[in-house]
Amino acid sequence: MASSQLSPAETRDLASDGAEETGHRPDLLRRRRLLLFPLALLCLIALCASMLVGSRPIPPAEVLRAALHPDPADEISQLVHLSRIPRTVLVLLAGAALGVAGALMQAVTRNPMTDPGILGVNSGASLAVVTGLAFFGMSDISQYMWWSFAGAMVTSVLVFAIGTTGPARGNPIRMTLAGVALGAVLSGFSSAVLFTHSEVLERMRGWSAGTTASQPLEATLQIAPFILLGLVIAALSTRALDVLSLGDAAAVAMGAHPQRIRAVVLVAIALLAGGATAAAGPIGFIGLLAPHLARMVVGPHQGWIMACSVLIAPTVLGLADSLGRVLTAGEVPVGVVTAFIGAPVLIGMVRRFRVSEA
Amino acid sequence: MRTRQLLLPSLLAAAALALSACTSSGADPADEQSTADAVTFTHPTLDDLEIDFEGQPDVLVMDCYAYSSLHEYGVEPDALFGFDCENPFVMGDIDISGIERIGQDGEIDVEKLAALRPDAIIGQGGAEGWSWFDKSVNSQLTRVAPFIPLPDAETVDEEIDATRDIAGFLGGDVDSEAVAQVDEDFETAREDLRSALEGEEVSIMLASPTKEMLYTAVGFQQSALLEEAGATIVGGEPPAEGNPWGQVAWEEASSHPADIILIEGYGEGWSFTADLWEELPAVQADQLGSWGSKGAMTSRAYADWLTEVTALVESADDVA
Amino acid sequence: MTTLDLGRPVLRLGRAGRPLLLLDARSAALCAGLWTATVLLAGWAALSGAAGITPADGLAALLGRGDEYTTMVVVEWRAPRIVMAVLLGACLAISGALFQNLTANPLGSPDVIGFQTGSYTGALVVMLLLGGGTAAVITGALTGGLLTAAIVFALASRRGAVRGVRLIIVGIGVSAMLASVNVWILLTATVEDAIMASLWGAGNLSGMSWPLVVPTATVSIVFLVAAALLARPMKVTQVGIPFATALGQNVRAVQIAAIVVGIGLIALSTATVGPVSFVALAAPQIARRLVRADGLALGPSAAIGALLLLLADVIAQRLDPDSPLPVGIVTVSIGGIYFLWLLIREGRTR
Repeated sequence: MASSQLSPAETRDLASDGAEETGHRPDLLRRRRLLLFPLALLCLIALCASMLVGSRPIPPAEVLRAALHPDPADEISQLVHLSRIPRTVLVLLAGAALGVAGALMQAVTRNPMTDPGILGVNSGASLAVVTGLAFFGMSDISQYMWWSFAGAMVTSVLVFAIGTTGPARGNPIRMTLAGVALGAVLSGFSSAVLFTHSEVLERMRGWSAGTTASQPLEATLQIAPFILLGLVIAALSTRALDVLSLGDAAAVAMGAHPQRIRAVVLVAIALLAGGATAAAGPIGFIGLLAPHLARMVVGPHQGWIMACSVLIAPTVLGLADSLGRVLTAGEVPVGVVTAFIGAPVLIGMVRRFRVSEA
Repeated sequence: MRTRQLLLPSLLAAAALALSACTSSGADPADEQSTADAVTFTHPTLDDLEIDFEGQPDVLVMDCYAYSSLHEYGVEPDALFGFDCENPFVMGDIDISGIERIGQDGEIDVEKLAALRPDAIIGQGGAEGWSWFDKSVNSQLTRVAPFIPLPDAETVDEEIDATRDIAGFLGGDVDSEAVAQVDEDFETAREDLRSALEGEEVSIMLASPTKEMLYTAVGFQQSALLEEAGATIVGGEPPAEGNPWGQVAWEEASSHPADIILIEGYGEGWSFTADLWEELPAVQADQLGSWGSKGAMTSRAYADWLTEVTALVESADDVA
Repeated sequence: MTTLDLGRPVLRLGRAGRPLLLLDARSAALCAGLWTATVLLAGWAALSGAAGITPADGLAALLGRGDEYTTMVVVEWRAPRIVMAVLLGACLAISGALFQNLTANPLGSPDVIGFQTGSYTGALVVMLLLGGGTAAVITGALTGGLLTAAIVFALASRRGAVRGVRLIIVGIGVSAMLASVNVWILLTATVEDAIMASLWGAGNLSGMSWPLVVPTATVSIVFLVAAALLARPMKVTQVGIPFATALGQNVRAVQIAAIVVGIGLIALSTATVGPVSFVALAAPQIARRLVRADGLALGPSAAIGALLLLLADVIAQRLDPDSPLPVGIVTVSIGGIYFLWLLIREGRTR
């Protein structure tokens, strides 16, 4: 089993790519705070793009006017208030949730190659929606939200329960594989149900790649408290996660309780991944990219990684969504665009890593 | 261990080869015997397609699309397969509970099919078989019985006539009073629609809304029928090939203004909500009706539909 | 000469002092039992079914003395399907065993390196975008899968060496991306076409015929023989690479050969019947548990894979009275449940 177990040193290698760099460049630590400003600016630009870019070309001045002076009788104004604004809010919330959920997953599993999609959370959400549509006569779009929330939460709990008990604690790859396997199982169950209930297939197809369209603002705001709660828990756990990244033995020696930390973080992950998937459908790769980009910029400190993820993830999601709106006559679902952006970046990341093994 | 592992695959291979040797005599295609009873069917829309039968086809197996049209003429199948068998918008009032099902959606149990010893299989497709089976399943299917593809014509009228041809060949009642009456009803309904649309600028959208986008049907037979009666059909341009539905993003939905929106599958149990859908003037004025792209190809079905559309047109305000 | 006590019951073939072959008794007994069960199930499946043929008639047809109808059903429809199920079940299981041994991880299966997702993409492109027939779909699936495997390997190798961990990670990434592409292609097709394509994507043995089975069997036998020859070198490698090298084995060559054989087997299976899930993952694990072997157990894996796929196909055809199901749906359901149980159990014990 030599090739799949990583020594603590190698694990740290995986998770703390820039450890040596920050040690040799103390000015980076000082500059970290300054880096937040350009990131926030980028995020703002992406959100503006989300407001201004759409299938229907609307001049920016019009968008601004409509946003500030809502007029239910005016077509453009309605478009801005019923489509652009809800989608931008959704991009912000779902993006932040996915980014932080990914950062948390990567910290807990000590594997930078995890995100809600890879760990099967998206498959769980899809299965829940499919089950609701097929067996419980769910028909209303807003109900999709609660079903997928429940599905994503249950799956997160399951993956972590499976992955953090037993020998997996020391083996981050094993948790990833457990998640992938669970994801495959759940999407297999989904296909089994979809095949025998083909009318459900017709309705699921669009949602299953993740979409920001037709999500009313009220619905997004209903999910928002859960996402905010998850963000708060994540913010409070950053120091504990830093300690955890040194390895279980070291963490215990420093007085921390690894299992307890994981349990708390699990709640946060479930809320965040669940909330994001509930609002926008299963979107992959955002949770993978944002924390890694953050790590490249600010180093291995969990707090900074999360702060940057909150800014970077909506940026990427916003750009992907804007792109999806204009690529074809109908829109390309945002989950497809993020996969196309995300996979090459993931591959590039892997090639940079100093993963050494026997 | 090594020898054992070699033994088993080679035994399998030997068995396979032995069995295949035994089958060399069995693979005869259906002979076209010209006996006194043999009949040949010339397909109404597919040129060069002539199907030979050993006798008048009696035991029939068809897909639900075919049954929805042929039921009208009293042609009854011994088994059904295919898509939309439980869809009331395709099957209408037809009760299929007593008929054996040998396949659902894209699957079929070829053994059950063979056991029925059918004389003909009817369904959507072409000369080689059903549209949604792959070649190997179709070759098994056509060995059991000849396949009659449903006609595919430019206009609704041609398709109804061609379907009636097939029904007639299969022994359906195509010359009865009832059928003639329904033809008249269809003409009357068409005339009523024409006069209702006379002098008016009524725009109609044939749609199928989903959460991620609005699908529209432009260039379908049903839209051509309405256009010919004088309506203006609005919707997104369909792609050059592939899926014939046009894709309209929700933001663009209001740039296709329509007085009336006909929704596929609209009826009692239909529910769909989306903010931008509710904004459409036709939805706000509740000028909504139904249509189907896959429904029965019969005069009765279209007579009923055109009557419904006419009523909508007459009561509709100009909101687009 | 003293006889060596290997700690496990062992069958010795040949002379007492210098045996020709040593077989693990438990493994041999298990294989014998499994193949017997498979043959019995195959016989039952060949002689029963919905076509209204009595077993006696069926047997007569198998021996070449049946009428046209019975011969068509039993010899041309049922028999190739059964043979294919047994054959591909063994191929999938062995492919899975090889990959699991190579990546030293029970979850490292060919499914994970994105091969099956890639071949589904290739098949979808042919089926929905290009509109091809069976041969075209097979070619498309093969091309898609092999291209994906090549890309995954190219991206995962660093200075010419492929690391197990990196391979799995790159495979997951590429697989996830291709899965999105598949969702997109299915979304743009009509509903009926999407359903037809998903039937392929579930893994489907319908429409099997001898013209398809015979070439597949011929090619797979080559790979199976190669796998059998690789069994002993791989077992030695499992003890440890330095150990194997010290014994004069070319570890690199063995690993490359194992990868080629593993991919060849899964390529064959996926191209002909579509991506059947979980057999490659589950069969070697079940085999290992039953035989209480430490690692590679090719013979029992093949036996279990064959029985599993045949059983799944028999169930798939007969479960729903209104319609047969694709075999992949059954393997996913059974395999999925087994898998969940395995994951939970592994997490708790040890």
